[in-house]
Amino acid sequence: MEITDLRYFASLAMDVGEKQKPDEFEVYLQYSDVAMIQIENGRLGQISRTIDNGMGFRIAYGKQTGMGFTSKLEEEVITQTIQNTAMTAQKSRDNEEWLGLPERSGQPTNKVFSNQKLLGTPLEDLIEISSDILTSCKVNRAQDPIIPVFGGVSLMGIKSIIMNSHGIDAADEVSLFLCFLGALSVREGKPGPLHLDYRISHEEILDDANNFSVEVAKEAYKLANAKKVTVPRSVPVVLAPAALSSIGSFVFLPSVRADKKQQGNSFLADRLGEEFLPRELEMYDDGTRLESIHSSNFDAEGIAKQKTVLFQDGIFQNFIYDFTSAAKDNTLSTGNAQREDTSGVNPGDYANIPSVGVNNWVVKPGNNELDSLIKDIKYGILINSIQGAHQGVPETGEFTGVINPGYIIKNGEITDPILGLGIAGNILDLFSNFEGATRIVKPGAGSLLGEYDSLLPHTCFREMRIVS
Amino acid sequence: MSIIQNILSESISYGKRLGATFVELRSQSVERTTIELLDGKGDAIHGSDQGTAIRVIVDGTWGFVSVASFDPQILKKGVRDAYSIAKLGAKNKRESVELYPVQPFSDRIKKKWDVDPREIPSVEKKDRFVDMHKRIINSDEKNRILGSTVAYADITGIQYYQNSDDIEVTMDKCITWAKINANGKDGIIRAGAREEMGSSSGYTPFNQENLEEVAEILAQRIITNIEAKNAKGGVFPAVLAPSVAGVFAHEACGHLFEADITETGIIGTTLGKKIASEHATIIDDGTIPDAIGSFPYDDEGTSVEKTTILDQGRVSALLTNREYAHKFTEITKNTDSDIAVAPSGNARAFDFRVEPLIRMRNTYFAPGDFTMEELLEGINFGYYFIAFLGGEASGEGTFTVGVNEAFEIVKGELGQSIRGVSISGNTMETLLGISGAGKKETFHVTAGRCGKFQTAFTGDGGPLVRVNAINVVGEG
Repeated sequence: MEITDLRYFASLAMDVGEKQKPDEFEVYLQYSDVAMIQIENGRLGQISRTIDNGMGFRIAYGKQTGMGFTSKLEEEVITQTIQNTAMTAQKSRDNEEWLGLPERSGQPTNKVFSNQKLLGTPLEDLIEISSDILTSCKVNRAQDPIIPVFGGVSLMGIKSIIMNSHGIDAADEVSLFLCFLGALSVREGKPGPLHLDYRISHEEILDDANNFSVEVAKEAYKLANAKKVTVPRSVPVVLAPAALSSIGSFVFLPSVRADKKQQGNSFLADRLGEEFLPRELEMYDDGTRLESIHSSNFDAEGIAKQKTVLFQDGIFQNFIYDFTSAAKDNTLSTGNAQREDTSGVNPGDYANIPSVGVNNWVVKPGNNELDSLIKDIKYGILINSIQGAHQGVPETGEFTGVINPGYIIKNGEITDPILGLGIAGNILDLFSNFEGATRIVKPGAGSLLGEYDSLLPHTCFREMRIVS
Repeated sequence: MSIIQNILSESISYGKRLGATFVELRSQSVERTTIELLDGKGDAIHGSDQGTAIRVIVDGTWGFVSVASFDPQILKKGVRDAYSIAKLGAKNKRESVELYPVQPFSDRIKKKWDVDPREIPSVEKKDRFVDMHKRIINSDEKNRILGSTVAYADITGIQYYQNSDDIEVTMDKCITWAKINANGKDGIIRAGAREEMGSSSGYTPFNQENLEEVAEILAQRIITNIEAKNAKGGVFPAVLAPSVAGVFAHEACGHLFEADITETGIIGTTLGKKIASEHATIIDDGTIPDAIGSFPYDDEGTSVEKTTILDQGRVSALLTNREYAHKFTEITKNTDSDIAVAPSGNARAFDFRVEPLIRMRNTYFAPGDFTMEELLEGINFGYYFIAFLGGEASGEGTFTVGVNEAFEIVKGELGQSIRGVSISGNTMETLLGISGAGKKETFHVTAGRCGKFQTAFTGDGGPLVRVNAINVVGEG
């Protein structure tokens, strides 16, 4: 389906919507085409193609609102759904939170996030990449085999269009190549910890599948003997991007959302403009980065996405906003409206109501290689990933979790693999202990958690509490 | 035969003519209402969703296509596309997919839901949760409860399934589910509480009385947590209440028995062997009436059953689909293992957009014969874990479960409430340390979700369960 087809259905829905004589009306239409080659337990798994489309509607009579959707793009069904949604709105109590639909604001970056050459990649090429990944990962070790447990090579094309009765008419196209691989090493009959890595691009397919796979295999092999060890109650740590992303997503990023501040659930609520973090620790939300997943020209309400500074010069600079939260603060949206299925029970962006969400969390890289970042650590831990980080308290920034896996750092060298150590602390205390970051940043870590993406370096902190 | 059944049948014939050795089509037409509320404010969204999942096997390779349509021409093209991509994949395949053989049958499961969610206006569903919010925040005379969030969904409609092995199942489906979170504050102390509820048989659980009861539980848990002290970290004996025992049964154990994970996971080397204490019997059961993880047939047309995966400490069965049932039949046929590996009815897909994966249904510890007093007896210092926040596990056998409500056990008696605690450890070591299961009067299964690549509604539960040693992550 082309943008012109989407525009036809969206215009049709706008006409039907207007006939219901609402004060405000919005239609959001999305079409997605996703090809995926799965890797499963050392084999090439299922090859799939998923084509989904649908439209969502918001309709308002004053503060009486209704929301509806359908995945059946047929004139009769669209008309019926809009009529039903209008009736529901007219029967509903006033929605006190309703502050209307947005008007056009901001200038889109006008970057091209959809690459036709990438979208034209033959399926054979994706299968070949999967096959190369499998071949390279299954290093032929009679004693300690490496097993590519799960993975995938995926190519997706997503088109969306949003129109509303205030004149918003925004179309977006995004292409994305994604490959990921989780592998483990079996040592003396026992599987070791899983190591997961990924590559993404809006523009091209992976051209070094062999290297990517070999690197995953090497890391899985190194982790095979991970053990629980006893360490001091407080140690310096280096967080790999996936580890920083998991703590950040559960206990830090919620607090930069304006809606959380307005609800009284942000520990940053009273700290706008205050300097309280090291000046070197700069952070942004940037929905315009070509190398990140959640990038496009418009957000889910048709507002231009942008780069928003979160921390600069140690000062908390901005919250992120969608239209409603911005209207409450008498400011403008930062292009952070999303239609994520946060509960996992409502598939299709078109079937979800917009709310505030991070686009791509970016931490400014440092000047270090990983070696130089750890060279002064006499005894510490490199944390690859954290199990159970969702148990943190976003309202206070208190985090907890279990290292699974990581490495002991001794005298500036990465040594034995470990797992099972409990960690805890407060995210702002941790950030206050920021020592430095690597030069190389990694995209994609946030995407593993679904709602946003990230572009993060390895980050070093002077101390973290070990609680078991 | 209905029009849609005819369309599916013709599509299957077309796939066979192309040369596919297996063809299946799974079409769904549902209505879905979801509600997201924050402090009683927010909206319901209601709509219709329909589409078809097409799976084929060509030259021993799976091909899968999903389309948001019932249109015969689109389905025919979908079958052709699925055939083509499977054919392409077969060129790189070193191992052929084979399915466990089944007998042809046809069934139509018609249901009349006690309370059909489609007959309740969205506005009314929302208002019930608004009332629930008011009840939660007004439950504490010291006004320490600040707010609540609600995520609710009901999905009701019909599913048509046919495959080229002459299996045809048409069934009505209805899932209702909600997750309610509440939070409170006293000075600098923050506390939260969560509950999930749901059913596979209609809107019945969301009556006024049940919602009021859940509101009371949440409010009381927040107050308990605010007044609690920090937990002491270390290794301690513990008693797990049904919901915590259930999440342990699901996260730490159940996933390891899903045959796709077993193949490379730690259970793979223990088939038929005793790995846990005799007090540990774990069952995955799709037949519990009304439970959220219950359904008559899975998404490959296999009748569901009650599968005892761990029988008094011995690995006794795996959770399988038809592909892994065949694979493990081959793996175990020349061994002395008597483990059950036939299709167990665990192939589940969230909807037509995704392929069925091996997923749990309702997973629980079987009851034993201990009273609460007997389970607490002899524990000098330990913990009683009542409610959980969430869990996570890895294939190599490590797990973490966040605890939402807990008490100390001191000299065999319940002591002070604690907060900010999670449990973690090695599944095998923990299973070996199970030293008692409570009587069936303590047994309970609660509704939840599992997120293995796609959402599945699952139930977790058990009786009270005592563990001799569990790693407690705490800050006290």
